[in-house]
Amino acid sequence: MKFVTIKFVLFVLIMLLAACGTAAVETGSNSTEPKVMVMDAWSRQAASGGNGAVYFHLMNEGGADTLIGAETDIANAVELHETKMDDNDVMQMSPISNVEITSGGSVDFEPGGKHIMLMGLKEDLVPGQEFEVTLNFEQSGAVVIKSKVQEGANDHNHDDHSGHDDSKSDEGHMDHHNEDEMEHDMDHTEDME
Amino acid sequence: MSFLGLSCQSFASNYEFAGFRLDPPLAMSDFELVSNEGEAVRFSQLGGQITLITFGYTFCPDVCPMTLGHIKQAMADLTDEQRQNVKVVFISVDPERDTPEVLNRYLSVFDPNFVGLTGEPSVLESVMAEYGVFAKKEVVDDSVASYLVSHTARIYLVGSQRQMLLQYGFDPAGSIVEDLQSDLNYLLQQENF
Repeated sequence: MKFVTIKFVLFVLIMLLAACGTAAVETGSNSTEPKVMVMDAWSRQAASGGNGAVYFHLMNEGGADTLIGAETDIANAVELHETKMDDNDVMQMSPISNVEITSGGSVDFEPGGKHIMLMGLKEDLVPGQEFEVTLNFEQSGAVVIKSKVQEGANDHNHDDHSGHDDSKSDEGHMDHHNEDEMEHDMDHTEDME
Repeated sequence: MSFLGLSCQSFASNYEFAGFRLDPPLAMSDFELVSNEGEAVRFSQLGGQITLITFGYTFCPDVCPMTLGHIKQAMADLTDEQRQNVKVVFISVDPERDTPEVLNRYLSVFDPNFVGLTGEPSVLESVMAEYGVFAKKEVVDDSVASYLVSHTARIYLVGSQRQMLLQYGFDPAGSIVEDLQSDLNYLLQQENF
C-alpha cells in the first residue's frame, strides 16, 4: 500500500513538472509580441549603377520574430545576403530567405556577414546622406529605418555610434534607450578608441 | 629608390612584419591585363614601388569594398610622396561584368589612383593561379543576380622587383589597417636595399 502511494505521488509530480515545462515553452514563444529594434544602420559610399549594402544591429526584447525581406526606393532590387569565409580566406556570398531573431536575442548585420544587399543603385551613395530602407518582419510587419552613408575607409570604426540618440533613432522603433543599448553604445565607443 | 628591390637579406632588423611574410620572396610574372582606362598594361608599367594587389569583383557590395576601404584607410596617413610609391591594384575575378568602364566607376568611389584590371578569362585565370587566388562563379536561383563569385579575399604586397613579400588575410575586424600601416611605414623608410 505504501509502495503504491509513493508511485502515485511520483506520477503526480512528474505530471506537474511536465505541465510547468509546457507553460514555460509557451511563454517563450510567440505568445509575447516581438519588440524589434534596429540600431546604427549604415552603408558604404557607392556609385550609381553598382551595388551597395546596409548594415545594422538588430535587437528583440519581445517574442521571437523573423526578418523576411527588405525594400528601398534607392535600388532596383533588395535582398538579404550573407557572406561566409572558409579557412583559406575564400569569401562566398549567398542570398538568404530570412533571418530569425529570438526572444531577447540580437543579430548583427555587419561587413563580412549578414547584410541587406542593394542591387542596381539608382543614385550615388554619398557620405553623410541618409536613405530609407523598409525591413519586413513576419510578426512586426514593416519597420522603416534610415541608413547613413559613410566613407568606405571607415568600415571598422564607423563614426556615427557616439552620436546615437533619440533623434537618430529610426522610425518604427520602439523604446530605445534601455540598458542593453547603452552597453551597445559603449562597446562601439571602445571600438573607436 | 633602390630600397624597393627588397631581397631576402633586406629584413635583417628587428622589425617584425604584421603581414604573413614570404621568405624568400616569390618572383611574380609581368602579366598584361586591361586597365580601368581601357588600355593594355603590364605589371611593370604600373609604376608602383610597392604594389598592393587584391582580387574581387564590382558586383560585390560587402567584402571587396571593405578590403579597398581598409587599404585606403591604411594609406591615409602616408605623405604624398610615400603614397605615390604605393600602387593599389584591384584585379577582377568577374571579367564578364567588369568592363573597364564598370571598374572605373566602382574604383572612383575609393580613390581615382586605384587601378582596376580586367581581361580575357584565360589570362586572368593564369594570374589568379600565380597568386594562389581561388575564384568560382556561383549560379544563384533565388536572387535577381544571375550569379555571384566566391573568391579569395587577401591582399598581396609586391616589391618593385615584382617579388611578393607579404600577404594579409581577410579581416573584418579591421586590424589589417594597422598591420598595413605598420608594414608600409617600415618598407617606405628603408633606403639601403
